[in-house]
Amino acid sequence: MTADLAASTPLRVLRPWALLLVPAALALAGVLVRYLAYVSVTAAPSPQGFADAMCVWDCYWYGDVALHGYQAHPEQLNFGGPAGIANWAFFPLYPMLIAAVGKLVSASPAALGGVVSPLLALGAVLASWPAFDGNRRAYYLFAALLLVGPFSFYFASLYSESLFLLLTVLAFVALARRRYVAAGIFGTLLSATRTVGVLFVFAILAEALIEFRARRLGPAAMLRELLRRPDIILGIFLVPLGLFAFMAWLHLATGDALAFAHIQRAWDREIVNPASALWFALTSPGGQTRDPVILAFAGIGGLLLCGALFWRRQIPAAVFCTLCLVLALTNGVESMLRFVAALAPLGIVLAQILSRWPWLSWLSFVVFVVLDFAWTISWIHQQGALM
Amino acid sequence: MTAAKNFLWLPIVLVAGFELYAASLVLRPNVDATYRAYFIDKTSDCWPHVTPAPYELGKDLSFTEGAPNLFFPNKGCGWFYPNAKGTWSYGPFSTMLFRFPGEDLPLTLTINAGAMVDAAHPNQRVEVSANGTKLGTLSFGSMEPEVRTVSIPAELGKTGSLDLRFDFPDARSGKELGPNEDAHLRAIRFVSMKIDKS
Repeated sequence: MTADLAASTPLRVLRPWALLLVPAALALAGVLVRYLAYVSVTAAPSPQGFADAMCVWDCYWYGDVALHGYQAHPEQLNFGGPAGIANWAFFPLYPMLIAAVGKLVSASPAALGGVVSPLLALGAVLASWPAFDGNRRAYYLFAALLLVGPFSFYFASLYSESLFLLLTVLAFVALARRRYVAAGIFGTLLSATRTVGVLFVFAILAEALIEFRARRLGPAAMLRELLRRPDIILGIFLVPLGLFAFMAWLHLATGDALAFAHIQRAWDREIVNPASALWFALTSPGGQTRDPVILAFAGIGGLLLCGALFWRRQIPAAVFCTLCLVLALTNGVESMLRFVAALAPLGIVLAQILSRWPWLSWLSFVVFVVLDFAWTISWIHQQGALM
Repeated sequence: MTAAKNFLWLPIVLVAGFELYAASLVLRPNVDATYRAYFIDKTSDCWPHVTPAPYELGKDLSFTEGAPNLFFPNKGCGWFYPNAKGTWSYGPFSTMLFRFPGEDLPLTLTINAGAMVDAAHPNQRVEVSANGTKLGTLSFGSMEPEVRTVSIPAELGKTGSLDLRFDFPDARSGKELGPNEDAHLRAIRFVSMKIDKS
């Protein structure tokens, strides 16, 4: 793609900067595509109207946490489901970031999310460069996927996906360099961003096992070596720290350290067998979840990409992504498209696969842009599968 | 380098200690009994909504998604999400609350509802009570909506405050019936309801 062009023209001078400039240009293009999509379905468009139109579903909850903090009790009258609802299911780091930015800039949470989230997504792209081993075409395609691709609206509105994406990339880049403490610190932030962030602990364990196996250590020798490696142990203990800190805060605020999990009942979410969740979504599409067949295929697609990660021996990332998807499926297929889209290693491996041939890269790029336009409209209209 | 690494044991102890403390909080929730029963122990399917429950006698309340006069302001507990065909009961009983200018006249409760029935379980009974007084048992035998009525004595109606309770002794789960993994008890899909002078 751009790499081929840059190699054969005077643009070669810009080549060192291209790693920064191409994603930045794609980020701007993404804003333009999404704004045009908004304009195409709006009678009187405006920048604030754009931010508000992009603020759908859980956006309200993140805004609520950013503005008012966590509730002490469930709402007294739920104009929907069987129980009082509360904002405890929405982890604190992203709304804290929005609230902090809101102290500096006076704007609605939706507008702040519309600026902060794309910047976080751009940061995720820039931080991901070491994961591509010098493969520029794959890197640029990954940038296109996130910034001007089919799911870019998730990373451009008041949702925690963009922060999760950035932290996942930073954590895996640190882990690949076997900087376990740094990986653990990013893990802390991950587990304060979304429930599944705590699963990064298994990625650290997998990397440590790979390191020990490369030195042909047996199980007993591995254990002895682990006790001589406080950096690995600290990395492991650091990952759940964000979750435990949130639990301690919830205990203070609500009296229930597991309120973030218990409140799922207000949305009638119960633990189910992940395989059954996929099966019932494919075979019995009626019920509360909208577009369950699409969501089931998204889950299956995500698991196939996990398989590709295993195939490419990217074991820590494969373990992490598989566990994230399986844990998400224990609540059914709802929001599966979003969960798959926000797993950075899956996007990276998809970009690596699609960038194998230049023609496929270009075709993918065009498809990404077209879908960005079309699905942004679907997002604004709150089409069920995108929830 | 080794000394620096050994220094890491201090943060390990601190972090592990805090995490142990935070984990211990799970074992001692400080919540009221209603919250505990509904959200933690899951021994109750009734989350008691707090509402002034305003009502005008004769007003038809709808249980269909998007319809006017939705039942929400009178919702007690035990109701699932409304859909295009109505609202399923949720759990072994449901409640509705009504506050209106009391009149010393007998009233009639009219219910339009379908039921979760099949060949093996052809009927769903609904035991209706108001303010703790049993009014009667209705029977619904079709997935399609049917109209049933129950009389409410004047001595209850004149209070202007009716807490209706619907018990579902034949309620069954979606899991039991096979269409999905839903473990909640379902019995009746309400379409509309009204209380009027007899």
